[in-house]
Amino acid sequence: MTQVIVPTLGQTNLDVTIEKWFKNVGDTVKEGEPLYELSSEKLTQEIEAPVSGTLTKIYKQVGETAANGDLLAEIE
Amino acid sequence: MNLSNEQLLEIYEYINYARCMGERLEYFIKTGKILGAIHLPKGQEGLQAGLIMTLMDARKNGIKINTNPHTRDQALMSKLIGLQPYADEMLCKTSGINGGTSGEYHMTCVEKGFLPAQGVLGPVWGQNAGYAWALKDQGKTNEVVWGIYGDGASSRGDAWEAMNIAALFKVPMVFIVVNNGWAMANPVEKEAPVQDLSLRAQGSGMRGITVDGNDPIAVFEAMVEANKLAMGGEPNLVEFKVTRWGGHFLGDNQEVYRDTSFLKHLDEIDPVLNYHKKLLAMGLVKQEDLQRVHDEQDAIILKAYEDGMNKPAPTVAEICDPNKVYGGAY
Ligand SMILES: Cc1ncc(C[n+]2csc(CCOP(=O)(O)OP(=O)(O)O)c2C)c(N)n1
Ligand SMILES: [Mg+2]
Repeated sequence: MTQVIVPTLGQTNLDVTIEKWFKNVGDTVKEGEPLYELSSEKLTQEIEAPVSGTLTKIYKQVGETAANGDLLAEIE
Repeated sequence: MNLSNEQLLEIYEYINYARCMGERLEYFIKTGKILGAIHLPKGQEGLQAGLIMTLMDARKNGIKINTNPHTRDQALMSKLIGLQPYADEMLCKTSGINGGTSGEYHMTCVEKGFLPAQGVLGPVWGQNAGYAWALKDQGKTNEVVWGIYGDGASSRGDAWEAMNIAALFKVPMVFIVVNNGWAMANPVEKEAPVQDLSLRAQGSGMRGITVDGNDPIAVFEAMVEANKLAMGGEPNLVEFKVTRWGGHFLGDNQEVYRDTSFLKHLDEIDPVLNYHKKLLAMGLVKQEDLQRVHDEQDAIILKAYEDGMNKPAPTVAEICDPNKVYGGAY
C-alpha cells in the first residue's frame, strides 16, 4: 500500500485546497498519470500518481483543505 | 577546440544526468519526500552538461572551480560535492553535506568548491569577487571562481559593483549570467533595456560574450576559454541564453503571466534531444541509446535518493546549532 500525502511546494507552509480528483475510488491508476490537483495562494499544481495500482481510499474531497504531510489517499 | 568522441559521449552522459536530476526532483517533491520551493532545471540541461563537463575537465587538469550554483543548477551542485552527500542533504539527513541542516539554498562545501550563498539575490557576486581576490592574494593560480546568477539576480545594483571591483583588481573570476528570459513572473524585457546581457561587462571594461546555453559543446568551449582568461588576470562575463520550461518553482502557475504555447513544440528546442540528434548524425550513438542512457542515469540518481531516505534526520538542537550555518564555513 502506498500513501499519497500532501507535498510542500511553496516557500511557506500554507494549507492547500483539493481542486480536483482525476480518479475515483476503485479506479486503476498508472504511475505518472494525473491523480489530483491542489492549489493555495499563488500556487496551482497537478500531481501525478506515485505508483501504479488501485485507488482504494480518498481522505480529502474536492473543496476540502489539507496541510503539508496530511494523508490524502491510498493506492494498493 | 576539437572534442574527442570520448568527450562528446561524456557530455551525453551529463546531459541525460541533468534531465534525470530534474525529473527525480519533481517526483520526490510531489511525493512529499523533498520539501519546499525547488526551482526545477527543465529546459536548461544543455547548460548544466556544459558546465559539468568544464568542471570535470578542469579537475583533470588540476584546476579548482569554486562556485555558487544558481537556483536551477542542481545537477552541477551534485557533481561538485558528490551525489550521495547532495541527495542526503536534500532529504534533510545527518549524512548530507551539511548534516541535513542547510537545504538546497545554503549548501556549502568550501573544500570541494561549493561557496556559501545567501537567499538574497545580488550580493553573492560581490562575495565571489572577494573570494577570487583572496585566491589572487594567496597566489593560488590554479583556482578560479564562477559567479552564477540569472537574468533577474544579475540585474540588481550590487551585481554591477561586483563586476567593477573584479575588473579593477583583475581577479580570477567568471561572471556567468543564465538568461532564461524570466525572473519569477518578470520577463527579461522588463528588467533590461538590452537584448544581450553580456553587454553589461563593457561598463567595467571586461569581455562579455553571449552563448547558446542549449548547446553543451558551445558552453564547454566558452567556459574553458573564460577560465583561461580569468586565471590570466582577465575576469570576464559569459551570458548563456536558455529557456525556462516550467514555472518559477514547482507549483507556480505560469499560465497566468506567460504565453506557454511553446510547450507544444518542445521537441524542436529540447537540448537533450537536439544533442542526441547531433551525435546520431555523427554516428556516435544509436536511436535506442537515448532511452538506455537516460535510464542508466536515472537509476544512479534514484538509488542515491532511496539510500538516503532511511538515514537519520538531525535533531532540533542540531538544526539550531549556529556553528552549522553555512556548513560551518564561517
Ligand atoms: C533581493 C531578492 N529579491 C527577490 C528575491 C526572490 N526571488 C528568488 S528567485 C527570484 C528570481 C530570480 O530570477 P533569475 O535570477 O532570472 O533566476 P531564475 O529563477 O530565472 O533561474 C526572485 C525574485 C530574492 N531571493 N532576493
Ligand atoms: Mg531568469
